[in-house]
Amino acid sequence: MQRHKMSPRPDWQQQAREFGFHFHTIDGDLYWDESVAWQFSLAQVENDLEDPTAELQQMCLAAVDDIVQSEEWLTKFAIPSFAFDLVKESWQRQRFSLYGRMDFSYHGHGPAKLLEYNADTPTSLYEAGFFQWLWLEQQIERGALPPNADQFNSLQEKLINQFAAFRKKFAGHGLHMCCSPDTVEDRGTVQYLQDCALQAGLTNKFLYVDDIGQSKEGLFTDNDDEVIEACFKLYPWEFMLREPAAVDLASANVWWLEPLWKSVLSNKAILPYLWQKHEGHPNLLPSYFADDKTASLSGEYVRKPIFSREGANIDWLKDGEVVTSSTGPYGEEGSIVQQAHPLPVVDGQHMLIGAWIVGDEPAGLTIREDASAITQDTSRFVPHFIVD
Amino acid sequence: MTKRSQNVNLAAMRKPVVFPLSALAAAVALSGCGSSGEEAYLYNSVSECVAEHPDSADICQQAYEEAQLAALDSGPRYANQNLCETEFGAGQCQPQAGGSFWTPFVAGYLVGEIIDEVGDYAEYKLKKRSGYYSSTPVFLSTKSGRPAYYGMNEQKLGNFGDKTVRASSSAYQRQAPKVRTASTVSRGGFGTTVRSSSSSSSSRSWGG
Repeated sequence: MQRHKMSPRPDWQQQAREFGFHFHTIDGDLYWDESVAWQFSLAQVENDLEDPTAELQQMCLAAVDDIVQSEEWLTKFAIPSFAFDLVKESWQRQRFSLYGRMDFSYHGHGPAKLLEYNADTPTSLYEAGFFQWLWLEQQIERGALPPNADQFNSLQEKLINQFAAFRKKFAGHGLHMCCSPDTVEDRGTVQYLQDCALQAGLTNKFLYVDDIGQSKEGLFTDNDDEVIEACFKLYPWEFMLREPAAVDLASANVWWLEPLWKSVLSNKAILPYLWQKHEGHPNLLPSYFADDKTASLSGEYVRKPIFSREGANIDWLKDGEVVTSSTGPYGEEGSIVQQAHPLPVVDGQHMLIGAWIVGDEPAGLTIREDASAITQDTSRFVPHFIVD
Repeated sequence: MTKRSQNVNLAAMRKPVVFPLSALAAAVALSGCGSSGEEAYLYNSVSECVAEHPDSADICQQAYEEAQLAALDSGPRYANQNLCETEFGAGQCQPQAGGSFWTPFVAGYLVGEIIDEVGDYAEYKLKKRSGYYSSTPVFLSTKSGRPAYYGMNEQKLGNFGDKTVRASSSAYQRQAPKVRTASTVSRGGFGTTVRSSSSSSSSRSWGG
């Protein structure tokens, strides 16, 4: 595993425009950064990242199967009690899921350590699945990378296949797709998924989360009063479950992507759960609920709210003292602590690996870099390639 | 075998400046013009059909299966039990695809009168228009006051008790599943978390 300085494709910005990649630069800061790239060996990708991702996914599915049966666990996971049955039902009836991303700290040797699982609303999908793919093809074409260079990135193909599988199962007349207004990145991610769905023959219709309507029968509707039967939402379950329209979740009977049971996995509480069930697993870090009096917390630990995203509200603790922290709006529902496992640092940049899962299969990598030890939504996306 | 996607459709990934919003497939509106229709037998079960056509049992059976398939793919569907029962009556509907939508029970199916002229199902199917189902389901409803049979496109095909009906080719036509509407009483019930927090902190993404 090695970081290389690369010459960017001279026309990459023009191509980004052509292909609708509108968030490569955000507030004047570069987000898509192809002036560097990470190299992996095939063995590093397959043995250290792909296989553990598949194994962890199976562990996570077994965890959901256990947790949805237990009110005690669901309470610890801060799922509102009105939704217990809904979560369980979604697991029993609509096990189908589209995608997720596990974030790892990995140094090129030794086991990759799972930091968290973005199982509900992962982003950086378009740049990973498409724009990174295009980068590799074109860097090979211009001779900047050898002809046998490869990339762990079957995202787009797998997403299209997964939408095709959904189309067969759902047998419905179309999928609604939504996200919050005023975020170019989320809109771009949903647009990418719309494109993938359409290429799978699945017609779809976009609306903003805020425009979802409620009918007197307790159905959800779109702006044309069409009943929403199936809906992809790039909007977190932990928000939705606490919003007014949640009262109609049962009667509306929407087939959600991601399904409601993902609220169990996209939840930092899964980390202490997994550690409790698989203590000592090479890809897991010791993790505990913050109020767990039996936890031994010597050395460096990271405290994370059960619900937080994009690296917000994280405290880095050394022997109980906060040494670094990030701000943000989360933390009301309790926290977990996880043994610190510093990210690799090259040229002052911390490097985080996101491993994609489509359905239940590993599907590719996202690499992010940040000057801070806690990567955030401003972390730059850096492409990768495989050359042995 | 590479580790990356093999088939990426670059043309499909190019974008105009503005994001296009693709529309849901609209239901094909068809008018059933009864007089030009073809005569068909209406059977409530396979055994009823076989009883009248003992030499054509395979046509009876396969036409029944085709009608079931047609009902699921092109027949009426509703977002929930209530909406379906409003149209077809209490106890007349069943959940499909794990309850993601509801359909009325198939009350019977139409078999073309050519069943009297042909030997087997292959020949029967050949004589039907290509691109159309070779048999079509009927659904029973009292929505017009008295019990009557309705086709996939909700056109009335005959009254309860009818043994033969006239059905135009549109009654056999494959169609996009129907878009269901409901009157919206409020909007904005989702998204409140972000609306209430965006005044103080702005986020680039609510994903992660």
